[in-house]
Amino acid sequence: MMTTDKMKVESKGRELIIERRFDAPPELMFDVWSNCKHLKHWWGPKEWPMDECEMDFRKGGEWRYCLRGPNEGDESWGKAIYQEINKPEKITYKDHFTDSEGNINEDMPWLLITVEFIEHEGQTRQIQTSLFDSAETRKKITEMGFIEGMSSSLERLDEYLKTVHK
Amino acid sequence: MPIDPLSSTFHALADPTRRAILSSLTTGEKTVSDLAEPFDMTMPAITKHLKVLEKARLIERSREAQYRPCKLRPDPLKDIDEWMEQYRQFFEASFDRLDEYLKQIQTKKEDHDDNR
Repeated sequence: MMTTDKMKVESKGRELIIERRFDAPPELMFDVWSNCKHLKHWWGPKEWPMDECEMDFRKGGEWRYCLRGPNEGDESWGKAIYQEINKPEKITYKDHFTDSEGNINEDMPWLLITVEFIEHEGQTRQIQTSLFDSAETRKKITEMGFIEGMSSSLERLDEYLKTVHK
Repeated sequence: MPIDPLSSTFHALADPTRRAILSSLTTGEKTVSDLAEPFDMTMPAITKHLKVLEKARLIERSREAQYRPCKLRPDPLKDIDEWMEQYRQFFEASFDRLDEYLKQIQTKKEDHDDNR
């Protein structure tokens, strides 16, 4: 666990909890999380800003985004699917890796993210909980052959590689 | 501090060519030209993918042999903690920016309060 004046980070099991205080009311915090216009200014590290953003902000709706890095071709596409929206207190979404068409990459883990905004002395305590799909992740990684086995798709690829290798 | 959005592993794995390269390395060491062969790609293009994998420490390239064969390094994939750590860095970097951004827009709002 790490604690500073402003921020508290805790990881337990497959949960990562980041609590941080922001000098803004909960209503504004909710807005900056629920609108591309705002998210473009802060989502992602400076070196990897969000370049594309498309959002249908409602339960069951999707947020599709692309982060682009410093080198040509560096890009990372994601898709969040909103599970619960409770203005201005709480947003829950499932975050996936996708290709540029928005197809979910099943080989990658997903995250269930809950962000809560709690008013505190004119500021907001933002509590973000990320639940990692760890069992699945481990299984996928195992299946991908990095540790022991190999997924059938990679096995097929492997077979193919052997044939082209003569 | 993080250079990649999820500092490296996720980014490295997000690309199908790089996953195929890793898959191909599960059968043993390979040279760059071995790796390039099944793909319709130029050597510089493959080298670029290898650099990403190397940076993510998913592969190792031998410094001794002339052909610098590539070897799989599965360690970064072994532990969920690694993944969580990368996410933590991602979120922290974003929240630092959010802090700055909130300052900016709230100052602006005060300046143009008559617009509201």
